[in-house]
Amino acid sequence: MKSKKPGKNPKKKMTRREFLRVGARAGLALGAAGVAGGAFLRGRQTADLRWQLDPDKCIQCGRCATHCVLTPSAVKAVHAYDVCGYCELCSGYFKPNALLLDTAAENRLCPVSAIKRTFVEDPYYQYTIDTDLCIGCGKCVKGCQSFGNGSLFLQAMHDRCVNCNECAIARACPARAWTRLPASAPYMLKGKSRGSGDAKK
Amino acid sequence: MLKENLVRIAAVLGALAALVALVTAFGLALAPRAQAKPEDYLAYSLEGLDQVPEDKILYREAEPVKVPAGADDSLAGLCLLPDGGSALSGGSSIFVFDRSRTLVRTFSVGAPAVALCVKPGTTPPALYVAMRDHLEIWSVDGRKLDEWTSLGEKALIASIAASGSAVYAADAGDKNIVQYDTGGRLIRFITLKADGGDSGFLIPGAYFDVAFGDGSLWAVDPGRHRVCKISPDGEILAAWGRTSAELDGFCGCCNPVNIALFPDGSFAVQEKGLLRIKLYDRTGAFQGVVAGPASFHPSVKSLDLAVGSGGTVYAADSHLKEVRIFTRKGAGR
Repeated sequence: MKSKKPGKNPKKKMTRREFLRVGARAGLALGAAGVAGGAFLRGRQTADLRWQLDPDKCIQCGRCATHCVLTPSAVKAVHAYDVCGYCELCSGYFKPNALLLDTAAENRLCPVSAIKRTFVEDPYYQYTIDTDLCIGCGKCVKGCQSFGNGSLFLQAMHDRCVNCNECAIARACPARAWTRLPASAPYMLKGKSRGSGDAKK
Repeated sequence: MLKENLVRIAAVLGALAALVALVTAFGLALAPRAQAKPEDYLAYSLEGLDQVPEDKILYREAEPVKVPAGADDSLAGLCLLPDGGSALSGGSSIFVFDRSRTLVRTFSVGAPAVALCVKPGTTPPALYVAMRDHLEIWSVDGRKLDEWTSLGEKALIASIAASGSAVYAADAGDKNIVQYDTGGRLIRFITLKADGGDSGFLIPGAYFDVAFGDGSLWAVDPGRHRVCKISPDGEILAAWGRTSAELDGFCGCCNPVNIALFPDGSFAVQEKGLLRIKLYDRTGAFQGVVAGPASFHPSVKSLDLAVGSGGTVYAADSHLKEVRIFTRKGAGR
C-alpha cells in the first residue's frame, strides 16, 4: 500500500485565480511588447522613406501648389536640361497664344515668374527654375509635356518637405502619382539621371 | 424684484446664445464642403484653341483597322503598298495588310522599326525599314534583303522617303537628311544652308519628317514652324508655314510633326500639342481640317501619315493601336 507522505509531491497545483492572474500578466506583457515593437518598426519605416511624385504619372492638376502643408509648396518644377530643346518658343515658358516671344508678363505662362530665360546662341535659349519663387503649380510642366519634349517635371524637394506621415498632396492627388522612396534616393528624375534618384547627379 | 428680472434676462440671453451656437454648429456640419481645387490662374489653359469649327472639318472618319501590336509598341511607320495594301511597323514587328484591310502577314525585324517606306519599282514590293541608326531592306513576305551601315551613336532616324534613284533618311539626332543611292551608298548629308540666318534644320525633339512627292524632297523644319522644299545641296527652294496658335498656323516649340503629299502636290500635316491633322494646298495655303484634337487621345504625339487615292488620309494611332482612316466628306465610299 502506497502511502502519501507530506512534502513528497513537489508539484503544487495552480489555483484558478493564480492561473488567471499569470495569464493576464503574460497577455498584457505580450500586448505591450507588440505595440511598442510595432510603433518602433513603423517609426523606422517612416523615417527611412520619403514622399515623391512620379513624373510619368503626374497629370499637372495643380494640387501640388494648393494642398501642401507648406506655403509655398515643397513641390517645385525641375528641368532635365539634356531633354530640353532650348527652343526660342518654349511651350513651358510662353502661353500657347503668346503675342510676342519676349519676357513680358502677359506672354509668360508661369504665374509667379519663376522661370528665367537666357539667350544662349541664335536661336537657342536656356530656361532655369528659380525654386524660391516656384509654387509647384505645374503649368510649365503641362505646356512642356503638351507641345515640347517633356523636360520640365515636378518633384518634392526634400530640403523643404517636412515628410508628413500622410502627405497632404498624396491624399489629394487624382492620379495617385505619389509614392514613397528610400531616403537615400528620394527623387524620380528624367533624362540621363532617370533612375538614379540622387538629385546631385 | 430687480434681481429676479436680471436673472430672467440673463437666462433668456443664455438660451438665445445656446440656440445660436447650436444652429451655427448644425449649419457648419451640414453645409456642403467646397471641393478644394486649384485656382484658375494655376490651371493650364489652351483658351479654346483646341476647338475646331465644324465647317472647317472636311473629313469624316471611316472604320479603323485594328493592329495587333503590343501594348508598349509604338506604331511608328505607315506606308501604302502599290497593290493597294499597306504596311505598318509596331515595335519590332511589321504588319502587312491587303487591299481589303485584312492582316495577311506579321514578321519581326529584330529591333524597333521607327519608319517605313516602299522601295519603288519592286515586285513583290520591298520595304525600306529604318532602325534607330541604320536602314534595312525587307521583302513584304518577311525576308531580310539588305542592311546598310550605321550612322553612328548619335543618329536618331525619324523618317524615310524614297524616289526611284535615292533614299532619304531624316536623322533627328544629327539634324540632317542622309541621302543614299538605291544600293545603300551614302551620297551626302543634306542640311539647310544659311539663308537669312538659318543654320541647319531646327529640330528640338525627336520628330523630323521627310517626304518625296511631286518630284521634290520636302521636310519639316519644326523649330521654325515650316515645311521646306529642299534641293539636294540644301538650298531651300520653297517654304511655307507660320507660327500661330490659330487653326492655319503651327504652334508650340516644334511643329509640324508629320507630313504626307497627295499626288496633286497638296499636303496632309499633323501637329502635336494641339493634335490636329490639317490640309494645305501645294502653295501652303490652309484648306481645312482632317481631324481635330477631339478625335485623339491627349497622350498621342505623333501620327505617321499616309495618303491614298481619293484624298483618303491614313494615320497610325499608337494609343488605340489602330490605323485611323479619314475620307473626304462628299466623296464616295
